[in-house]
Amino acid sequence: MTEKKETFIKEIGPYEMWLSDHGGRYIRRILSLMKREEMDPKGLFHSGFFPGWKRELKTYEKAFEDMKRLGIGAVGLWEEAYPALLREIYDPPFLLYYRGKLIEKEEICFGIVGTRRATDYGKWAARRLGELLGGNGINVVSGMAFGIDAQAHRGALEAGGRTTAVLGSGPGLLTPAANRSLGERILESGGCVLSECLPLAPGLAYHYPRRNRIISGLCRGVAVVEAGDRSGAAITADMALEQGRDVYALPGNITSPVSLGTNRLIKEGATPLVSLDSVLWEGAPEAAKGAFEKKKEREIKGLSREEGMVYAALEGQGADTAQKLSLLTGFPLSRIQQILTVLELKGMVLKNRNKIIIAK
Amino acid sequence: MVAIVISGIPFGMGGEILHVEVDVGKGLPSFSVVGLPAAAVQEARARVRPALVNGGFDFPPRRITVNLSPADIRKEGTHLDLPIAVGILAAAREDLPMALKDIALVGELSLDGQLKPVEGILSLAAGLREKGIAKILLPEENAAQAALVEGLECYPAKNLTQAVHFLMGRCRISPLAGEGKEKERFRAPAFDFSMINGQKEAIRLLTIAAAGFHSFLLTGPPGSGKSLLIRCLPSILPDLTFSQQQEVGNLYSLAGMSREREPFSKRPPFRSPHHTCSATALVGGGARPRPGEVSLAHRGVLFLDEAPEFQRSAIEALRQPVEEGRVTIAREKATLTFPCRFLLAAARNPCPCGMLGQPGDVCRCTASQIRRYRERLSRAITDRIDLFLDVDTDRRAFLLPAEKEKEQEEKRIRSADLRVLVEEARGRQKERYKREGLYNGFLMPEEVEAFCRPEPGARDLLLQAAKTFSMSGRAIHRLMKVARTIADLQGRELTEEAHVAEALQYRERRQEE
Repeated sequence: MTEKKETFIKEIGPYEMWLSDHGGRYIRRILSLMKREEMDPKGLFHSGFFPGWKRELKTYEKAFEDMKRLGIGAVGLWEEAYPALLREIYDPPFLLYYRGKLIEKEEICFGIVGTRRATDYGKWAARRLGELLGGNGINVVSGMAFGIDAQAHRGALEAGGRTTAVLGSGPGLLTPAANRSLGERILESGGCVLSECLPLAPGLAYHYPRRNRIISGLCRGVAVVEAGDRSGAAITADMALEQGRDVYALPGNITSPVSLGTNRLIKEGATPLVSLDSVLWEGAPEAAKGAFEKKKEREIKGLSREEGMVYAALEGQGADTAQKLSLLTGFPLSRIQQILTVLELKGMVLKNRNKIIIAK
Repeated sequence: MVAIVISGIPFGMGGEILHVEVDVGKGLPSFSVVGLPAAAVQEARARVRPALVNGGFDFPPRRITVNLSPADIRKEGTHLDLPIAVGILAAAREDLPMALKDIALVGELSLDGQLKPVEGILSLAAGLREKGIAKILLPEENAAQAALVEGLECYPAKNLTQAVHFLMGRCRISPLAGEGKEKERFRAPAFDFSMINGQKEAIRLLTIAAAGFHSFLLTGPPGSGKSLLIRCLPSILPDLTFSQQQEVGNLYSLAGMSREREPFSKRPPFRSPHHTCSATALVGGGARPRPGEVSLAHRGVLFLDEAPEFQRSAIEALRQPVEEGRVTIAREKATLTFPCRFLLAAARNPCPCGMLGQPGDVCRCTASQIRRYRERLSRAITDRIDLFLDVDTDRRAFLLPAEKEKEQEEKRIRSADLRVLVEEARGRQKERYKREGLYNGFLMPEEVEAFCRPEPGARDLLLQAAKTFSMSGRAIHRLMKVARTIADLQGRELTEEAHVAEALQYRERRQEE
């Protein structure tokens, strides 16, 4: 069987890319034909089974050049290096184009997805989750979009962990453009950016729902941090369920429109993230978990008494303003601002608009 | 016979001497004005004839030629009515000897011979004084303002008849000089920080801005109090010195806007041009260049509300004025420089609809819409802003229960208290720089290096922050200036760690999405 597949790629050259771009329908057809050994795939092309293939040939020759130029690799469904979990899903991409270091065989992946219009609460949770997972040797998979996705990647990067971005455009373009620097950071850190689209394909709207199946397909579990009622993140969760993955959802305020989706998922049986470390399911190394807790304690111990007071006041509230902190701690406003700068430099807090958020 | 009367025309920041030469000669009766007169000066012919007749004089039925010298500068304005009328009398009536040698005449005439006030008198008077003129005869309403000019005797006249009698020595007018300084009525500023609920962070920022003349940008949803906060800013600005009052009055006078402002106001100006304002209106311009909003805000506040809505060209044009404190306008007729040391106060919404981050997720703006909105304020201008802050409605501070309300009332910040702080901080800067009107916000890079060096501990913090927050060299300099002002507010000699740490909270933050 393996031999047959290899012949297939050698003989056909770039045509299979054409297949992958045209979706799983043809691929499944070919695979099933091949399995039954009813048809020589080469003959399939020449027989005119796929109309217009000659016209497309040039496009794929160019794609090969782009790959060489940009250092993009490709891995096929039949190859050993293809992510094992992804292969198991109903319609795996025929080819994955990737930059950086592809997910390794023994590596555990976990997806974090959510809305682009995240609240401070959602962003905080995504970042903490990314950190928690990344810091425990788990590859954090997300889509590099604004909001939750970006925060999840950032969290993983900060914890020094591995992270993988699955794009809706070709991996040659780090989209969305405003997150290009994030993509570069992911690659620099030894992470991976992958996609089933041609190296320089633009990120078109219809790519994204299909992209989401790859995210959930790569992962053992997926956490939905915030999602609107019918959002892409909710679709990812549905796909994850179909694919038999663990689905976690962050419970949210019932008045928040971006928690509608996650709360509904919980109702439908997703595991609620009662505490963030509940994502470190049984398989996660217990020792690593302990180390993370210790690290956190140590960090809090590294604070001066005043810094500790401010941090404690923040922790009680989750997100708040400098003015409220001054009221709670009794320090004058200018002193609060000074302490906040120190905490920011230590990476303990973040400021988003006028709200201060705990980062760690 | 020919008579020569001295007058003047406004030119740039000052004025030029103008000789009005009148010849009344033989020939068919006619009346012509030459020497590049603009429309308003041409019309003087129609006003001067009835004014003379109704003032009780004859209008000579002879050939009258008026030459305005120097003949190559375009003359605008209505203030040449009086010198033309007097010139005609002096040339036609040898029986009315007038002393015209060393006095300048300025004034618009009404048809019944009354003298009416003219625009731009302060800059004109100052310019004439500079050119060596010591006396000026002018309309009563203008006299007080012209009297601000040191060493200039101002003779106010009600009408043409009085003016002629005075020039003939038949009556006396007591000159006005140096008066008027003390005349300003005290008027409490309309806005006061005690009107504001909460918003302590923003008030602190405004105090720093006022103390060091630091430009700032407030970002917040509609109704969060950005505009109210900024309108309260003048209430904590110190009074202008006398020379500054003159400088500012002069600019208003030049812009033909002296009615907009009390001539001797000690209060710094506050300008808030609408966002549809053009680049020319903002920085100044016109065939005969006039000062724009930036110069009208000289020594005071220029408030750009809804800053991203301003035309790109208008915002770009602000670069030189903000950087250099003066603006040079080159036009066909002249190249002029106007001062504009102002405090730039800008406000904007967090996103196009303004509701980003508000509870209930009402904002439907996409990430790229928000980015585009923010980019409308280009680097060119945000690079020149020292302080950034996001504000939001302080909902907790509204509708408090009665007993808390009272407690709150006592805690409210009053502008008068802040103004004392600001005055002290400014005093320290003045002592340090030994120069009037130079504050931390205006320091050039080399001056920052010389005066704002933080002490070693603070330096380490600054370096660490610069690395962590990836700040540019310019941003570091801005931070040093702000930290210096915070130290000045506290009355400290050195810029300490605490000052740098506070200043860092007002840095520009990249929006993370």
